[in-house]
This record gives sequence, structure tokens and C-alpha cells, in this order.
Amino acid sequence: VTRLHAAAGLILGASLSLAIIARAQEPHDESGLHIFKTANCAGCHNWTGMGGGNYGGAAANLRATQLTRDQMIEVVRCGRVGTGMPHFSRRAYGDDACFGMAAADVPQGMMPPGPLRYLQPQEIETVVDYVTASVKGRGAPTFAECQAFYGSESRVCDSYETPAQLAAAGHVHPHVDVAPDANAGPK
Amino acid sequence: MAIFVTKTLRGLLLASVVVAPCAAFAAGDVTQDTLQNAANDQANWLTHHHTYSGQRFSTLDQINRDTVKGLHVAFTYQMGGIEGGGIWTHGGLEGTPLVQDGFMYVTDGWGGLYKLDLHDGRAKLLWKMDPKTDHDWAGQIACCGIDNRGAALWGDLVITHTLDGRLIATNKETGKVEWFRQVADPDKGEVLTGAPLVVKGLAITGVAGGEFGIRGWIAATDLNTHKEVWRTHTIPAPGEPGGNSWDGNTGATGGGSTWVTGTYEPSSNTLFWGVGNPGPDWDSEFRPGDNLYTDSTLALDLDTGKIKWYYQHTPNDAYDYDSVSENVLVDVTVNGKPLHLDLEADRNGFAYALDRDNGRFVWGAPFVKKVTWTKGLDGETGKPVEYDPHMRVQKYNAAVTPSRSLTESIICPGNMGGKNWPPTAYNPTNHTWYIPVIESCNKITVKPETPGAKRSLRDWFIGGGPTNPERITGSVTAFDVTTGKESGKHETPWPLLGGLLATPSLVFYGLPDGHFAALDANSLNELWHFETGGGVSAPPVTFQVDGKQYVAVLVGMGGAWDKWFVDSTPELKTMNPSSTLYVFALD
Repeated sequence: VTRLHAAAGLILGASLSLAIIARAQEPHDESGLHIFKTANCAGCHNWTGMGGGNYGGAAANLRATQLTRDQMIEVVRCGRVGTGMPHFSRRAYGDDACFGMAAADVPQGMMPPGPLRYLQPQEIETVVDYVTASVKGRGAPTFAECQAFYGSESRVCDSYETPAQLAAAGHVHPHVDVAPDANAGPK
Repeated sequence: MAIFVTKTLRGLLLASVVVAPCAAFAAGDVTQDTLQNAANDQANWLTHHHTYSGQRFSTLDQINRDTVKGLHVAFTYQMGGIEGGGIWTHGGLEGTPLVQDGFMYVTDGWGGLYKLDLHDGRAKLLWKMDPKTDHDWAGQIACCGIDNRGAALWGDLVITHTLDGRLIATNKETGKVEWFRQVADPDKGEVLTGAPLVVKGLAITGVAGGEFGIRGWIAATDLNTHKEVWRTHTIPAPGEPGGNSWDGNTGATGGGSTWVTGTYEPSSNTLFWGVGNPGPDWDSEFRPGDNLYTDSTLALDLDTGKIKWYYQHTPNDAYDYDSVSENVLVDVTVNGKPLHLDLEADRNGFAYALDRDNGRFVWGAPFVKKVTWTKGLDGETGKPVEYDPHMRVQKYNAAVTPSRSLTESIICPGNMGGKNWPPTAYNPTNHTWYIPVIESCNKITVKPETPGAKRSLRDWFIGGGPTNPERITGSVTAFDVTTGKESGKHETPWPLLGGLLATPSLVFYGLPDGHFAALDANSLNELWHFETGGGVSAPPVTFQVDGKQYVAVLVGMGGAWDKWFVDSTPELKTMNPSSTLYVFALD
């Protein structure tokens, strides 16, 4: 009995562990979104993934990206040489191969910056799977996509709806009452 | 006490005759008289730039060049507002605290307003007004951080802005919001970061959004009726005077933001306000013409918003050299001639003195060590010497000016300046004007915008972007305004991102590495310093409580630096966000 119990316990324990590992490895969309937010991807690529010009230079448009999953993983791990795209792997350009380069091969001043926080290899895969599933290949951003990112508390998504649609949904959006300009009109 | 009562009585008279016939003014209520006499009110800091003239000079002198070595932390207060929103990971502090009768009114980056009782040698929170700013709506389109530069006082109200575009009136005693109105529209890329300027019952609002294709404006809200009474656009429409300085409809997205609090001259009833860069920032061929009134100083009638005169510093700007800086009003004799000057330290690296009675150029000189975009200013007009009024697109020094044919270029100063929003200070006792300097060059990459392209009003519209391959440092640079000559430079390892305070014998400044210090007003030698441990991106103030002088500064890195420009100061990458009020005193 003791042996049986022990064996059953082992099997149960092993299967539980497997289940936990399996769950962690699942390319879960919500956890990918969470990483996209907390690693500050939206800080440059925007919530839409469209990136574009800003004071930090132009971040890549992830909606239009042609990168494969493996290529995207390498860019997130290693950053982009000579740009503001950070390397999210702690071991980039060291133990972690990066575009065939070691740290010494990266030209002076061109090393990608460090990230807001480093990501584990599994987290990098998860966020890349989120981009692949929910961003890459998508057309113009929509109200629904925006609310999936920001929730419904903020007015940040309102500009993706028409005023009529907002009103129909009972959503109050602020209005500015503007006074006349004394300088307007021909002199 | 006698002075206080007299002032209050005068305030009552003024209130009953001019300002608000029905309002009951109580002791401590702020009137036009209170604000116009702020320079003589030793103990208090009542309006954003200390006085309407924008000098940020206090006559308080207990803390002076002889005693300053004994200055130490008296107390601190931990503020909130550090949370992120939109594209920003954290808020920061850029505010100028106001102090009246021992009570401080101070804002955090999201516009949270705190009333602190500073009696008894500590900061005690009496109330906090949380404006419940819509973080993501505003933070998504704030070019340069989660920032709020402070409050204004009027009657029994504290007047503030929020990043999401509101003007809020809070009861000074209770902390309750009395009313608010939407002034700016984040749906059009507009946000509010500056402190309101209150004059004669009007709250003057400037707008940010020059990187999002706004058409800029300055607006006046009547604090009695809560209604807007005028709105002056900084970009004339086609057919209006100045409208032909834009091609076609390019002015509609032409920028011209106004996000730094202006100044006011009571005798002429004139507001002086700086206007930001044209948009798109680096694609000047998109918008041929001088692009009025971008990169200009405007003089406006307070009652109507009518433009009295303008002076443009960088016509058809291709560098993001905006002229939002405060205009400091001083009366001095220049070359034997008594003049009413308007001083402005521009992003383009030049200090300007204008005759504020008519907008004429008096003198101009570089305050940075390295200027590459022009050979200098014309001695008569103050325009860059290469400026050609017959050209629609200016090239200035064509070897470095970003354009569609020079798509990568290093410019000096870089696009942060020169001098950014952090305010200057002016000491009337030695005629010296102190400028918080960013000694910089950066690299501009031009990516032309497409005319008529479909874009969201909440998208960046800048025609390229900067990167920062070169180290950026700073200085406190002094000018003798009677000659227009540089009279001293205290160099610093980091850019000046917080602004200055002048007292009779000292100049106070802070740095983004946490260094907070006092310089001798004449020699610019450093006499005292304290390491705050957090980035300083706010201007110091001084005031007196129960007869004792204090110096205060907000500590908590705000603004665009740590997100967009930190490559030029790599050691600052390790600075953590913070949100603390530091108050210093002698024993």
C-alpha cells in the first residue's frame, strides 16, 4: 500500500508538474499582451504595433512586418544594431547568438540599448506569438482592438468610433466650446 | 500683519469695482492687486514665474553667499502621480510650487494638486485634488512625458490644467473641484502641460501638440462665467494676415504650440507668449514659407487676444527650434538708452532682447558653445544672416540643414536645444540674466511626409526623427542684459532640464543626476550642493514661513529625456523614477 501510494503520488506529482509546464508554454494570447505592455513594446511600436516616427526615431511597423517567427524572436532577443530597439535577452551578444555577432563585433556606439526589463526566453516566444496572432498582418486598427488593449475605462479608443456610434453606445465624449479669434478674417 | 490687512482691503476694493461685483473676497483671497504686487511680497511665491514679469527673482536674502554653506534638508514630502499611461512608463515632476502664507500648492505629473501646510517645519497634507486624468487618452499623445508645471491662484480658487485637456478650479480651503471645462482636445493631438496664467479673472491656457499636427492656439477662460472669451490661433488661416506664409492648407497641421506659461505687463495690458515649432518638424519642404507665427514671440492684448506684434526667430524652421520659452520683462538701459526689454532664450541657441513696446530687435547672441545651423544673427534684424525673405524654403547653413536632399545630418544645437522649457532667472541688482543651457548636437533623419496622406489626428507628424550619437552636457550661462554680452558660464556634466532661481547673491539649479546646487550670482562658482538622489527636472523656488526662508524643488525625472534622449547621457539610464518635494533651510 505504501509503495502504491508513493508511486501514485509520484505519477500525480509528475503529471501536475507537466500540466504546469504545459500551461506556461502555451502561447497564451493574454500573457503575450501582458508582456507587450509591461516590457514597454507599446512605448515605441504603439499599442497598434504600427510604430512610425517619433522623438525616439522610427520603430518598425509590426502590422506590416514580413519577419518569420524565428527572425522576430532574434530581433526581440538581440535588438536592432544601430537603432533604439533594445535587446531583451540578458545574454545577447554573449552566450546568446545574435546575427552571428559577439559584443566585440558590434561597431562602436551601435550596441542596442538595454530594455526596461529583461525577458526570459519563454517570455520572448510568448510575446512574439502574441504579435504574430494579434498584430502581424492586421489592417487599420479598430475600436475593438483598441479596447482589447486598453480596456473600456479610457477615452483613448473613442477616436476609432464615429460620434454617432459613441452616442448610440451611451458614451459621453468631451466637447470643447471654442471662442472667436479676434485675429481671424482679412485685415 | 498690517501689510497683509492693507493688501486685503485693497483687494476687496479692486474686487468690488472691477473684477467680481458679487464675489465675497475673504482674507487670503488672491486678487489682481495681489498678483501685480507679487514682487514686493517677500514671503510668498504667488504666480508661476514668481511675478508677471517672469524674472524668477526673490529678494529673500537670509540664504546668501555667506550663509548658504549651512543650507540643509529641512523636510521632504513624497508625492504621487508616478504611474505611467499611454506610451509612458512613469510620470515626472516639472512643477513650480506656489506658496501663500505658509501653504504650498503643488502639482504632480498627472495634475494631482496637493495643499501642504508648511508651518512647524514640516509638510502636512491638508488635501489632495485628484483630477482623475484619463491616463491612456492623454499619455498616448504626450510627446514629452507625463508632466504638469503647476497651478495659479485666484480668489478662493486654485486653477490647474490636466494632460487630458481640462482647466480645473479647486476650492482652496476644501480641495473640492468647483468646476472644470474642456479647453484642449486630445482627439486632435492636443494636451496641456503648462501652468495657467491668471490675469484679471482670465485663465490663459497654452497648448502642446506640435509633434501631432495641431494648429496651435492660446485661449482665455473667464473664471467668473467659466466660458472661453477668446482663442488666438498661432497659425493664421489662408487669407488672413500672415496666412500667405504657408502654402495651401499646410498651416492646418502646422504646429505652433504654446505650452510654456507666458508673461504679462500691466501698464500696457499685454501678454507675451512664445510659440513652438512648425510641423512637420524636420520636413520644411512640406510647408514652404516663413510659417508664421511658429518659432515666434507674440505680444497680445489681454482683453481680446488681438496680436499687437510678433517677432519670428527661425523662419521656415527645419530643426524643431521652437520658441515656446518664457519672455522675461526687464527695464534697463542699453547703450545709454532706457528700454523695456523682452528677453527670450531660444531652442536655436541664441538669446534675444527685443523692445517689448514694438517688437524690434535690440540684441542677440549665442548662449551655447556650438552653433552650426547658421553663421549668426544679422545685427540689425536679428534674423539668421542666411535668411532670404524671397525664398520659400530656407537653407541657412545648407551643409547641415536637414532637408529632402540631406536626409541625415548632425545639427547643433540638437532639437532639445539650446534651451528648452526650463525657465531662466534674472537678477535686477546686477542686470544679469541666467540661462539653463543644454549644450547639444544631435542627428536628424528626414522622412518626408506625404501631402494629403490619410492620417489619424492622434498620430505623430514630424517628418523624420532625432537620434543622439553625441554626448550632451549643459551650463548655467549668464548675460549682462545692458550689453547683450555673455558674462559667465558654469559648465555642468549634464544638461539643465529643470530651470533656475535667482536671489540677490545666488543662483539655484538642479541636474538630472540629482545634483542640486547654489552658484555665486557674480562668479558662478558653486558654493553649496546636495545630492537629492533623483533626477531634477523642475525649477527651484524660495519663500518664507514664520520669518524663515526656505528653498524648495521637486525631484522626479519628468519629460522626454529618459525615453527619447538618454543615449546622449548614458549614465542617466540608471536613474529611477521618483516623486519628492525637497525643502531646504538654514539652522
